[in-house]
Amino acid sequence: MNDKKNKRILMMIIVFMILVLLLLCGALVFGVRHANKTHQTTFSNFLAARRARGILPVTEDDLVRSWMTFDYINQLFGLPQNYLKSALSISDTRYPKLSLSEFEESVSTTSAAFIQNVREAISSYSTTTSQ
Amino acid sequence: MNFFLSSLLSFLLVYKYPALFIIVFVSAVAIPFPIDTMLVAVGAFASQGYFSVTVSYFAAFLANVLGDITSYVIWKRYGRSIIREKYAKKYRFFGQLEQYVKSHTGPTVFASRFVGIFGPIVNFLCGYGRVRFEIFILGSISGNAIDTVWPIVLGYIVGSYWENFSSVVDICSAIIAVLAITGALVRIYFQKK
Repeated sequence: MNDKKNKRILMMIIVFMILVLLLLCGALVFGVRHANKTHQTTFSNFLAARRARGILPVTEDDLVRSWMTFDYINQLFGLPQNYLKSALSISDTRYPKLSLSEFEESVSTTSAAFIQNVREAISSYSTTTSQ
Repeated sequence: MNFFLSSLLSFLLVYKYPALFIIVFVSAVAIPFPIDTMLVAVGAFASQGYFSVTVSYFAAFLANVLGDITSYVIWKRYGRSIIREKYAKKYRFFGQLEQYVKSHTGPTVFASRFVGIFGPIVNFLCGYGRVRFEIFILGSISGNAIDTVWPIVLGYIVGSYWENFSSVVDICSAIIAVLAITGALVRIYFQKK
């Protein structure tokens, strides 16, 4: 009797897990479609993304995030090592091995405002070099 | 992106391979960090020339295997004295789980490498259950060799747009976890019959 009850409970758990699995598969399909629509990662854009290896054009500055270090941003956009240091008047000795979020904390500025400043500095780099 | 992953990525960008090794090692020993998503990011960094694919792969693979060995040795040495008297004797399920891992060591260790949260648990059960080290290490090496490569390759392919795919990676990990649990439950259900 008890064994029968245990088996029934086990079966109910298995059915529940299958439902969770179906939900996750649905979420996967939705996630991929959502990525396609919002981030334009269709096949043609995907190929463009593949070409985006190495140095990125400065127009891609919306990819800048607060967890990135200055060193990484310099590498990503092909900027000279001290360009951001002078453009943003950074005096922290840890530069360039310093993340944007750490720098924001040290100078008590808001994240969104500082990231915007970094993006503008990156965008203006092409203007500076083309002149 | 959550604060925890952001902090891991900053740490990774500052200290590179030693940071990668430490994060993956700690994750294999005890704390299940979001390693798959982090390795996708490492693959993307490699595609941008900031990391090397080969060095990243071997650092992560070695850290995973050494983490598994450390966890196994710790639980083999101290597991029984810490757990047995207090918990294991009280709960019959614990004994059944120990027996299950003992009789299916290789496949269990291999499969658990693909589901971050299961790795430390299976390491504990293997150490505690004192399964044969050769079988444990074989499962660990083969599982980690495959599990470490796919997120790095995915990150390398999608490059700078890796963040668009991070939620998809999380869902895939969850699907693998649910599949593994369901498979084990179905097996138990038919064994009882």
